[in-house]
Parts: sequence; C-alpha cells; structure tokens
Amino acid sequence: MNLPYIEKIWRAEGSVMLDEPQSADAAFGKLDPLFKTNGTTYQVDGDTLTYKKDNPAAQDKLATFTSGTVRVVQEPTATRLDYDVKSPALLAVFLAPLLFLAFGQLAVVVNAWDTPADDETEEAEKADEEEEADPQLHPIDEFLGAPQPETLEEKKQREKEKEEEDDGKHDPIPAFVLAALFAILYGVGRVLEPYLLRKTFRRYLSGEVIDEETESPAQTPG
Amino acid sequence: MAGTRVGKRIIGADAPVTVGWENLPRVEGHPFKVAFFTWFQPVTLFALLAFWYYAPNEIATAKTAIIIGLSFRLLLLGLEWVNPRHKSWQLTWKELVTDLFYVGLGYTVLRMVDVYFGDGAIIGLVQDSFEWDKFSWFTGLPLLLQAFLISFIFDFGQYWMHRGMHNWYPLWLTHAPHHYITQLNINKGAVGNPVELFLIGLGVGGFFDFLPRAFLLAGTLGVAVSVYQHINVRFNTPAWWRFIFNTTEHHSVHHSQDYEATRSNYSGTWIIIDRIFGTCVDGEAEKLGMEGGRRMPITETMHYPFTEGYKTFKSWVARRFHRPSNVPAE
Repeated sequence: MNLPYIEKIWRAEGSVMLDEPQSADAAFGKLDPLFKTNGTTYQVDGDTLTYKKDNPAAQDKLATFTSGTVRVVQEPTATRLDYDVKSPALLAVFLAPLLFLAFGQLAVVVNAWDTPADDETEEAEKADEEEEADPQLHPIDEFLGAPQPETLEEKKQREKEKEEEDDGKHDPIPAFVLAALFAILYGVGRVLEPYLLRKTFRRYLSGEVIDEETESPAQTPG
Repeated sequence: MAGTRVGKRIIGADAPVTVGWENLPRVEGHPFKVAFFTWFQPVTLFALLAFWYYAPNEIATAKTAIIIGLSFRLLLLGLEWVNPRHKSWQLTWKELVTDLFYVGLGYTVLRMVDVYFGDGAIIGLVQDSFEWDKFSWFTGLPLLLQAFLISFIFDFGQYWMHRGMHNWYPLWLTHAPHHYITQLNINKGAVGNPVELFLIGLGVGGFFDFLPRAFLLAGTLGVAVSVYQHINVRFNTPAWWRFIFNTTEHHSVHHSQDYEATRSNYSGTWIIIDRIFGTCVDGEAEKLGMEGGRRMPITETMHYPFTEGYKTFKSWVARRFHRPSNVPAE
C-alpha cells in the first residue's frame, strides 16, 4: 500500500555519500554489526539489503527503525547509500496523544456520572463537625520554628474552596498534559531519530565504528 | 562463573554482579564534578526537608510537591545525560517514550481505578465496617518522626509485598514484567504491569492520622531518596546513606540477570529493612533483565500475568488430570 503523505509519519528516507567508491559487499560488511543483533533477520540481494528487527534491544542502533531497505548506488565518481526505513514506534507515539485525550475524556465522563449526592456531602460535613480540637505542634517543632498547622476552621475553609474549584473525583488535566507531551516527543523523535540514523550509517560506513561493543574501530589482525 | 558468597548465598553465579562497596568505581575527573556528585544527594535531601519543614501553609501544598517532584525529575534526567553510570543504560528516545507511556498510565487510568479500589477505599471500608476512628494520636508527635513513620510503615509493607512477589508465583506473574527492564533510568520505576503497580502502591498508612506537613515531608523521602533506585547516574554516595537508604547500586543488583541477586534489596526507600531481614546485598550490576536481557514490549507487559498464568494453569491441569494413555496395563 502506497500512502505518500501519511507514510511520512513513520517512514524515513535519505542517503549518505560515501567518502570513497566501494562495492555493495564492502559497504554491507561495514554495516554488518547493525544487523548482527538479536532478533534481526536480513537478506542481501545484489545491491539491496532488506532487514527486519523483532523487538530489538534498548541500545540497538536501529531500535526505532525496525524494518527497511538499504541500497548501495554506484555513481560515476562516488558511491551512495540510500535507505528507506519504517518505525512502528514513531507511529505509536504519533497516536499516543489520542489515547491520553481519551483518558482525559474518560475522567470527565466518570466525573459527570460519579458526582456525590447532596445528602452524601451533608453527611460528610456532619462527620467533619464531630472532629475534636485543633491540631497542635509538638514542643520540639515549636522550638525549631515550624509553622503552626492550620486550624479546623482554616481546614474547612480550604476544603470548601477546593470543593468549589473541583470538577469531580478525577482530574483530567494530567491526561491532557501527557497528550501534549507525547505530541512534542513525536515532533522531537521525527527529527532526531532520522538524524541519528543517518549519523549511525555514516559512522559505520566511514569505518569510525566497527566494533559494536567498544564503539571504536576494531583492531585489524596483523 | 564462580560468584561471591554473601551469607549463605552465592551472588553472581549466573551473571556478573560486583559485590562490596570497595569494588565499585567512583566519580573521577574535575574536582567540581567529584564534589557535585558526592554532595548532590545529601544536600538536596536536607534542603527539601528544610523547605517542607519551614514553608508557610499556603506554600506547603500538594500542588507545590507535584511541581518540585516533576522539576527534580527533569534535573535528574539532565544528570543522567551528564554523568551516566553505564553507557549501556543511556536513555534513548524510544526508551524515554516507552517509560513515559507507563508513567502516563500511572497518572491517568490507574489513578482513576485507585479511587475505587486502592488502599484508601479499602481502609475507608474497613473503618466504616468496624466503626473505627483513625489513630489520631500520631498528630501529636514531632513532625520529622511522623514523616519517618509514614515513610517507614509504607516501605515496610512494600518490602513484604515485594518479597512476596519474588516468592509466590501468582504475585510473581504480576511483577515479572518489571524485571524485563534492561537498563535503569529515572522513569523505569513506572514500567510494569498495572496490576503490580496497583499492588505495590497498597499501604496501611490510611489507618493513621498525620499532619499534612508530615505527609509532605515523607513525600520528600520518595522524591529525594527512592527516586535514585532507577537512575543512570554515578554518585559517590556517602556510606551512611547507603547503609540506611536504597540506592541505584542496590537496585541494580536486584534487577541483575543473576537469579540469586534478584532475591535481595526488596525495599523501596529504607534498605535498612533488608539489612534487618538479611536480604541486603551491597554491590552493583550492569547486565540487567530476564531471559538474557530480552526487552519486553508494552503489549506483552500488559497481558503477561494473565497469558503466562493461563499457560501455567493449563500445563498443571494436563499434568494433574491427563495420564499418558500409552502406558501398558500390567
């Protein structure tokens, strides 16, 4: 299925120019550590490598882009690596705000349904009235200068104000804040992750990183 | 792997675990960096305690606590970036959004469920049924003692719930997904099946009455102590701190790939509870998780206790009631 605009949500395409002309085998050899990780299957067909990662490790360099193709294109004077990769994670984060907006709406709906009846509130108020004297600070705290705890009267006043402000038992604001956070994180990820992917390909192809464990060029056996 | 004997147990026989404070690396580099990562934890703890102790009633509110808690977490995320404990635990974009999803569940649907089924609701029901009043004499105690009691009583319950999760299969099913995390970061405490997060949040503190300020002071111990359980920052934590408080070192041992090591350091804040009951192992581990470090996806985390429980039940029924039919009669 071809969805040219919608696919941009989870798909990244790009290319990296190689410093020196090299064969597809040589380029794929340098990228090999990226595909020799747990849960990765890949196949090379001439100048094209197709890979798929099933639940990659957290530190897998391609953890965000779990499937795609990488192609080595020979130009008259240079070699280019084209990549076309997909990310279910980006799609999930793109959709996450909808989920949290739904949670927020759920809170609003439950609040409307679960409003305490007036007689219940009155009962609670009556129970409050049965409370004993104002709370007192311990002499040690008085000596150290801690503020006096609020009196029962102040507490009642505060609770009354809070009750007036409150729309119900469930606060929908955290859900809306999270929806906004995921929207921001999607924007960050959509820019950052393709940038890091390109950087990773470039570093591996230039020979800057060969050994995955040490993240430094592997020692060539003498 | 030989492992190290700790009491009657061999720690680190299945996977690498460093045992003993003297064997752990320390923060190195510029004197300011060393001083910062040596003093950061105690200074922030005492500064926050002082703030909550002296803040006027109008400022000492739950709203302020939320603002401070979130800001502090952001600061700690920055520290993870500046001085990571292990490069292999570096926070990636994908790990961050995954962790945030679980944090988000905790702040939304789980909180809603908690209103009806959480410890507050259960305790209210018990108090109504037996016409019990709250044990209100606690409010007359010194504030810091009240705060200690709130924190310690909760953590004591959490210790036994957590230990129960590692020793009783039905509870373990709920806790197992949390043990599939392969690195520690500030929000990893929220990663797990919602049933577990609900169970671990149960406490008996609601039976007692405390001053609101004592709750805020107790909350500080959560913000400025137990938050370090899941953090990828190397600190030169003071000896007195790691003797009484849980640290990321302790918790990394608990999350290591070594089975025996996971059966230690159960408390959330007060590691001294583990010391009292003989389950404390001082040390650290880098290789974390289960099944050799398989990362559990969110979908599996959500259904694991139920599907895994069903599988186990089915095989138990098969063993119990289905006898092999090809056994010749004598």
